[in-house]
Amino acid sequence: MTTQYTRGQTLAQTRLYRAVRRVGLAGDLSPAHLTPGTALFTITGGPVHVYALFGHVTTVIGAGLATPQLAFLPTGGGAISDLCAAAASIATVAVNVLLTWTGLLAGLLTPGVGVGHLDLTGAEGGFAAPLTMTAGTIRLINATDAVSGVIDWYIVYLPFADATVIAAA
Amino acid sequence: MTTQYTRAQLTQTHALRTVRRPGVALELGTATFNIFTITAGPVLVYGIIGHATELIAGTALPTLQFTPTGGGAQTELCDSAADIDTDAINTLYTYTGLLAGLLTPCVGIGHLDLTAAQAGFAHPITVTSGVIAVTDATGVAVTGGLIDWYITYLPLNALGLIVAA
Repeated sequence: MTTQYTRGQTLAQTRLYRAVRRVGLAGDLSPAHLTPGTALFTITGGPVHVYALFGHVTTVIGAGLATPQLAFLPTGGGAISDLCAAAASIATVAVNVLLTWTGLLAGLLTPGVGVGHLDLTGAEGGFAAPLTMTAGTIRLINATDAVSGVIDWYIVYLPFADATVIAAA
Repeated sequence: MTTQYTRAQLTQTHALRTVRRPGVALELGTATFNIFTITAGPVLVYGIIGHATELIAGTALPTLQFTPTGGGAQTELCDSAADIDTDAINTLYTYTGLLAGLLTPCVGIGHLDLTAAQAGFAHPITVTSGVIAVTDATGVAVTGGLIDWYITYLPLNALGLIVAA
């Protein structure tokens, strides 16, 4: 006998992790992208739980002062606010370096010590528990020099409703 | 009524996966032995566990290393274990997810608890495409014993995959 579930019972409440990649653009690390910055991801039908949000350097970061940080602009009211503090300069960071932070507002986007992997130590440790975000946009701010280099961004999340989705901006 | 999902939602949907890499005879030693290959990364890795399936016979201080595809040197995922010589069948090994963590054998045979070094990852580590290997620069050239390796991960796209090397 097959167990049947009603839509309201289990299936409609079942959630799997979802992940989205926002491909890096050559101009992302540019002073033209001061607040409100450049949009990386758009959340619609939120809220969501965000389990990971990290960058993957795919073209070496150039010389100069690159101090990126992430911010969130809610839909339907509310000012843009920081998700984390501005990073220390990531100038000359190599291909395959990953960047993330602790999930704390005071945390800094921090490059991994090991190339191609982040461990769970301190600033590069990632989120110990998911972040909760409403509908809105996650934005990248780099308030210093124009710096070359490309970073792909990834977000991993659980939606709270069927219609909830995060898309690359 | 059937729930309808958009194509974008379905292609973003991922579940945890686990891969087993069976131990190979005479592979504990000072050479590098690849155990997992990651393609179309990055992935989130929730745990890496070793399972001794044959008595360890000889000095061995293994560690896990990672070499990214497309640029970057091999670096450690964790620190070298203390000597695992004479570890029994059904000993399990894991580490904390920290670069400074040590591959640590379980205290209770066949199960890991949540105490310090054997607690496993508090949350996932992030790894790009590349190869995870076991190395042992300080043991003897050839050590007897077998360790099966398991990795549990979340792919972040439809092609993201880890296979036994």
